[in-house]
Amino acid sequence: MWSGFFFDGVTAEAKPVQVSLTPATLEVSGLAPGQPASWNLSSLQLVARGNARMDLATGDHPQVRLRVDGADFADALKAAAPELWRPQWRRTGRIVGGLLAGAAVLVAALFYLPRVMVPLISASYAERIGAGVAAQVTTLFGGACNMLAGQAALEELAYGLADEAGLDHPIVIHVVDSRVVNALAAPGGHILVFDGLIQKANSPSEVAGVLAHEIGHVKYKHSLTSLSRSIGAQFILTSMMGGSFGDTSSVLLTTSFGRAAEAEADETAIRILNARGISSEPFAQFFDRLAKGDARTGSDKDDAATEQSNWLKMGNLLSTHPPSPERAALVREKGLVEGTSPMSDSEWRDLKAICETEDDVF
Amino acid sequence: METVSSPEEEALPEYGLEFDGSFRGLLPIVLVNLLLTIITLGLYRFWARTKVRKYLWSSVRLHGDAFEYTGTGKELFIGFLIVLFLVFLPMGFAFFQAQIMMETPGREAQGASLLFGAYMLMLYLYGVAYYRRNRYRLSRTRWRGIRGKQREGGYRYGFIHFMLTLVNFMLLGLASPLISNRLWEYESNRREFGTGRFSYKGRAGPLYKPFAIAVFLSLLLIAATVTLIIFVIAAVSGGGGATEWLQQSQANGPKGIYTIVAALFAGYFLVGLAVAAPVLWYQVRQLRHFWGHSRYEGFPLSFHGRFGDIFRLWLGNLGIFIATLGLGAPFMEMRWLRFLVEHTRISGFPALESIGQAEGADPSLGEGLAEGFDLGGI
Ligand SMILES: [Zn+2]
Repeated sequence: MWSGFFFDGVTAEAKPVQVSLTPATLEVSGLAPGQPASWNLSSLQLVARGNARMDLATGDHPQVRLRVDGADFADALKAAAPELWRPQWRRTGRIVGGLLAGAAVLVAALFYLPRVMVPLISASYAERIGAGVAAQVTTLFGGACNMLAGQAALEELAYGLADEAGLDHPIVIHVVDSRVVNALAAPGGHILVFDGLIQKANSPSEVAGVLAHEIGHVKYKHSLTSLSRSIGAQFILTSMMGGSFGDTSSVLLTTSFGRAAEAEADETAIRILNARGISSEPFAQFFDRLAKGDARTGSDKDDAATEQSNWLKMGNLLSTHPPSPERAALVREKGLVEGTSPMSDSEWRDLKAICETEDDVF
Repeated sequence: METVSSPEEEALPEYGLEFDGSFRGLLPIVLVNLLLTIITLGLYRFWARTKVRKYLWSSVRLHGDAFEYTGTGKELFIGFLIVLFLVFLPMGFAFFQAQIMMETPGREAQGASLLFGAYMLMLYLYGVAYYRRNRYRLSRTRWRGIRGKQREGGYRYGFIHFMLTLVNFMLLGLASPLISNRLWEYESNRREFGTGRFSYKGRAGPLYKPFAIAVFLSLLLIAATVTLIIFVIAAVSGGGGATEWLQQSQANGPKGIYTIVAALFAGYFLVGLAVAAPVLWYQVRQLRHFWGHSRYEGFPLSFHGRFGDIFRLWLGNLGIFIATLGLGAPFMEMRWLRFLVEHTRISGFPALESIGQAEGADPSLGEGLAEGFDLGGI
């Protein structure tokens, strides 16, 4: 027998009671008729444990509480209902399992999401997203190059290649004043070519190869797919870990479109180049040089280190377009070895000089 | 006038809350929580928080009887999911859309107004989130089986908070005491425990003197700290001053850059340390003012914490934060709760049989909005 107090959940008044334990129940005596005098041990909940007192609830009567005094009551209750003290591992396991299953479903949805989303995005909306991304990336990397002659030469080349790809919307070419060796396809036909790539190219055919590759990305909307996947990933990560949404446009710079997408773009590029009678060999050589440069830029601290080295690494063609011997081999296997130059010498000179003044023409 | 208490009130016995939680009691809960939260990539945090709250609530006693937290992880989780999809997903889309529009020639203004609108909505929702969080917690708090209750859903509070914050912004923060007083009043006068009501009748006026002192001291201490930093830099650079020191460090390559970053960090830390004292001093004054003019069923409440108490609390929490890299947050929360609990008293107490069970239904959902805003607290 222990003494304690019963709280009926109707008022805060404490009613003095006597408490005793049976093998299956806790008996409360001194209650008014109609109040729960017999509590199933299996329904007991531990509210709090203090010094020589214990606060209890029962699942059968959610409003009712009981406080029992006496240091030895805890021991007696522990002997009668040891499961009250045991951690509820089974329940915790169910929660954790459920959460992990939910997370798995989310991740699966993430990979399926672009397939549903991308066809729903209209061409004009994709164009607007692309324009925004292009403007942000351009600003981030030091502005636009717009020497008219060079821009005209590049556009003439690019539009000719795009015609061959059979796009259902026009492309827009941006040249970025940065030493980063890269080109990328933003949504809606916006293609960004970094001056570093133009300077590193040995021939117009090389530039044509890269452009044709990006046009391949445009054709298959890889950029939108990647963007919606990244946004989805960010959303899921945010909801899992907590935190806030970040900037979405830089996503394109850091994520590759994936192996399958690159192969698709390469194949399109070769088809375009072949149709135009442009040799694919310089494009393949460009891959070779990049693969060599990969090892070199890793440790070298030449001019690249001084210029926002982080962005260089992130924006480098190496990260967005991983070069591989197989890709070069594929280009060599399916492309033309000999071909005509897609540009006149004077156009080529103009293109090389596209970033030579920083005046804003527009 | 409101500080004068009648003689019979002074004769009333004072009751306090007791706190018997301990680091040792909380530690196993925190460790298991940490493990499960990592395993589930953070998703377990709702259940983790619930377990910590159950422990903390049960460590508080009044008249010898423990408080009880009856919320569940599931409620928090579902509330969060709903807010995630109904509020934060559309908001994220609005921000994305605004970004694109601002880069589209001819639509910059539209984009900017969309962005502005989205930020304004966030500000409004912040107040709603705060109120709803407190409402949820109070509704899940029981003592002797009786539960607490916060009237209203927080939309009106959110609006008042929104308008006052805008006004305060325009007044460069000078209306802060007025606004926190008004918001405390609004919240207090809608707070109930069982059928018993809380009320607040305090004015902002008495807060202005400590506020002015705290602002003045903060500015003085910031100035002093900055001067000290400048002197240190001058000494380090051999009398050359900040520009020369920056140049010297930059010339040192990456190592010099790290030095600059570390120095900046140390500078911020020092300034924060200097401002902490006046801010905490004001905070404790405000707590005393707020609770000192609050009543429960007409019985006056009071808060007796002092600057020394809150400063020790803050220093200790800073130490815990640094030592555990933030993972010890539940311990910091426990120390806060202990500080609040141990210094709050009530003079007299309503007849216990007169406190009935709170009427009406519990809010069924958790604190989803607050979670999204990263509103911390216990
Ligand atoms: Zn590619």
